[in-house]
Amino acid sequence: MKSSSHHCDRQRIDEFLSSDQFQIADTDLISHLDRCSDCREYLEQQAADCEYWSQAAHLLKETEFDVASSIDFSAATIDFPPFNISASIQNVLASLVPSEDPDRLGRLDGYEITGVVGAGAMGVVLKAIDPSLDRIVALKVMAPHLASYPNARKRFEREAKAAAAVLHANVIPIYAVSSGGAMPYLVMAYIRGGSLQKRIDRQGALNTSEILRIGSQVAAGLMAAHDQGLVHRDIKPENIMLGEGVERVTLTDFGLARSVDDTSVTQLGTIAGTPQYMSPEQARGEVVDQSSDLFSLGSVLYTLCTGRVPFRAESSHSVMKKIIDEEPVPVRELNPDIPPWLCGIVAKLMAKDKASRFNSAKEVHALLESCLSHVQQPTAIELPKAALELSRPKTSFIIPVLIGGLAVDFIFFLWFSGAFGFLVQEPVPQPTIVEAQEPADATLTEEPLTWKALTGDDIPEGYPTEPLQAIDGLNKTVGSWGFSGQQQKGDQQINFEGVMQVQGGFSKESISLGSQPMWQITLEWPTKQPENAWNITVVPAINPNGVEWLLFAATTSDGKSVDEKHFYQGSWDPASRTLTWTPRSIRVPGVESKSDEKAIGSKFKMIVAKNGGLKIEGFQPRDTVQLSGQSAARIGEYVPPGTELKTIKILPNDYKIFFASSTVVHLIDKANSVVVGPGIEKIGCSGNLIFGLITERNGIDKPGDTVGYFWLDSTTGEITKGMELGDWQKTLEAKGIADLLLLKPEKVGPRS
Amino acid sequence: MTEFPQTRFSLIAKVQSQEDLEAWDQFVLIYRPIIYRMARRRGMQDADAQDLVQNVLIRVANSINGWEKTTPETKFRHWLRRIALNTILTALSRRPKDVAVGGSEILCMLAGQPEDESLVERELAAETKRELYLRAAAVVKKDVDPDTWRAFELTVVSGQTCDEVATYVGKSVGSIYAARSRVMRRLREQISHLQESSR
Repeated sequence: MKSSSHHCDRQRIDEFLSSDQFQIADTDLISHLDRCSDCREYLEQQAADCEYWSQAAHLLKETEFDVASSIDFSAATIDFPPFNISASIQNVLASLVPSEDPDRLGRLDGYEITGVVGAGAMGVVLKAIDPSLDRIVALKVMAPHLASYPNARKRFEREAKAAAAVLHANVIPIYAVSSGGAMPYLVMAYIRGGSLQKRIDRQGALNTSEILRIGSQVAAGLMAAHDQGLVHRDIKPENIMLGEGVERVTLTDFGLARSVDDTSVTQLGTIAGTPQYMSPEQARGEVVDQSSDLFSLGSVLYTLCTGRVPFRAESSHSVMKKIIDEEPVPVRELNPDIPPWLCGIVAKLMAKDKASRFNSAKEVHALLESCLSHVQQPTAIELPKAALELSRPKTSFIIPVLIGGLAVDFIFFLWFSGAFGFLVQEPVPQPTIVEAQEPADATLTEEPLTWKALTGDDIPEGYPTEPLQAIDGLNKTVGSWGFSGQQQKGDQQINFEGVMQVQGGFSKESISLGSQPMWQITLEWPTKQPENAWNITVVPAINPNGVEWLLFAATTSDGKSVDEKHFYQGSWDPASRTLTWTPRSIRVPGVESKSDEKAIGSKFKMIVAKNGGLKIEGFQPRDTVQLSGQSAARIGEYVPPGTELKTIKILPNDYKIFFASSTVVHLIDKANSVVVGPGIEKIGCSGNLIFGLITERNGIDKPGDTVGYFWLDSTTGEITKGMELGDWQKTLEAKGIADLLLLKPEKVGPRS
Repeated sequence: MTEFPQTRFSLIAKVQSQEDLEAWDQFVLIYRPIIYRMARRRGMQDADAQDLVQNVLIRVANSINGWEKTTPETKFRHWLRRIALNTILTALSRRPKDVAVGGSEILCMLAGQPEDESLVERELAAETKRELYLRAAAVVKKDVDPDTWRAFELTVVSGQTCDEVATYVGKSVGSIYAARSRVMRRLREQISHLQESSR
């Protein structure tokens, strides 16, 4: 039926769609579809209503939290169905004998169960009281439905035997085993504190001595297990417990442990957990020995050094593939604070070829111990020779830049270069036209580009060398980083330069004096469009864990006045050092936000490397969005490292300082109404009194508040504005305020 | 949970009917990722979000004792959903102090209002729908050959044009149209099927 490719045959389309045989292609119909748009339309309508098409496009897209999660939920990863943990817990709890104490969950062979610690595929860990010794213990209970499986029971017994055989300070002690009943269980020490995984989630990368301390203790635990002829096979941060208040690290979960000569293999739950810390031989499904644990230990140390797992992919399967085939990103590219010798140790542990790893856990333990001594007393104790040999020569840090969603006519890249000359010479607080600076390597290519961060020798004298610690939520002031770049727009090539600066720091309870807790990035277009620069201000929100949440404000300007303002909600992930903005506008008290449509869609990610490198992903500015501010004036501001910073507590009675941008500062009350501002120049507090100065730098979109000094009684809400300095000081004296502590944004850095 | 055929819990002894047991299993399967995403969106860390998921499910499971079939029309799964909504609302507003307090505080501050229950309800509905699509897509993806799926994914989900994708994968435009329509049809059928079974 050759002719059918020329005719519209609707019935044939219907048949094609309803056919169950997916592999067989109707070649005539397909070649007809190559040409006939009517039939294409018909085909798609018949397949599903347009509602379905658009919903599929919208709902099947990755969301922010699909990939970030260690639980794989997305459609892409259904290799390992999630185990019904809740059912598992309920199942165990339901089998308990009721306790006389109503606060308790039940009883098991005399143990009073007081809570659930956790659950996994094999069973549940309960918190219990051992009445005979009156101590708190952890019971690892095998799920009743599994106990009827001989293999599962065998595995459980093996764990009991394996773990009980290892007596070591860094291995969880097993007090008792019950394997006869309907619910076999292990009685273990209850460790107060969290797992190493929780610590990483909270904190990201750890410092060198912490890494060494944890690493050497895990190695010691492994050493004891290996001495018993056991391979743990599941070394990962979740299985490493950090005792609360004590410096002891405990290795748990010998559920997968097997003696080397044990050839019986149970299939059940072999790949129960995350494969991220598997060794290549495990990922290949080969027989493993002790050196497999060393690889996993290496992966754990890598994670501690960098705050991220060495092999990342969206599905378990791809992770395993990467473990077999790929080398992880070098540690020092992600965290240059890690000494080269430690990177060398991690790399040797993670050698793909097991013969190239260390000989034993004992050797690793000894090495990490002596490295720790060196780090603690660098002058008295030398770095061990073995570690010294593993350190490679110092390399510069090149950060690969991947520009996601690269627009066809727009290639955008930045690199840090010696562009500081103008920064030094132009301290005048006004927008400056800067001569275009030819970048060292001006070739434009669509290949992933690299940025070279200014570190070490590249940095002109007197410029900051400190890493961007403020971003970590530490109470430190950092500095400015210059860069130059090129924008390719069709045939037009625009050079620009700018500065990225981090001013001030922030911590759990304080804002550092001398700056606003903000992170401001300014890019300037020196040629063709001197008046059009864009300015991004990021304001961190402070919470007990440090910086969690940021606000992004971008402004559009013709150089004189601002006509638009956009606010976005963003989130900062300290582990990957990534800032992600979602194009959703939010209302900001006291600030009018107009038409956000223009910038909607410019969702992008910015990744800050510790050494100052910056990576932007998915950045697609639109021509209509030209963002600017007054920030050219701020170029070159810098607080030298080591400058003593005073801090103030967060304001009393739920008053908050709100930085809508670098110049628009409000004081807002509990009800989020603006009480003072914009235009706050200084602000401080003492007891319940908040005081400060309002100047005319109200900027941009709103008339300023009453100029002059003000004070506010935060308990009564009584407020006086517009005072002269003398009167104001008298008031404060009358109120018994002796030591004034003020935020003074304008005093940042040398500005002569 | 095919590998553990006995996974039925005595807790549901109260409920007993096979249909209701399935309803529970399906409920857990679908709500876990939904609650997780909602928690993450509120600034919780991975581990805290997982804890919250577990807490919500345990609380819902515990309230099963309060379930009673009052009229023949009362459906266990509908009841479950209502309980879940309440529990999620409570859990999200009563989460531990050390979890992203500042974040949500500022979020609410900026939004100028406390978390609106009807908004959470709408978010829950939207997430449920997303989960429905994701689950259906997972089934269809397994059924079709990888190229067919890719034609669908690249054009519909990633938003590339059929012409681009045809050039990219080296196939004719017609075959891309055919492939993605067929996937879409399957997806629609699968979605209806899942909807049926949860009605």
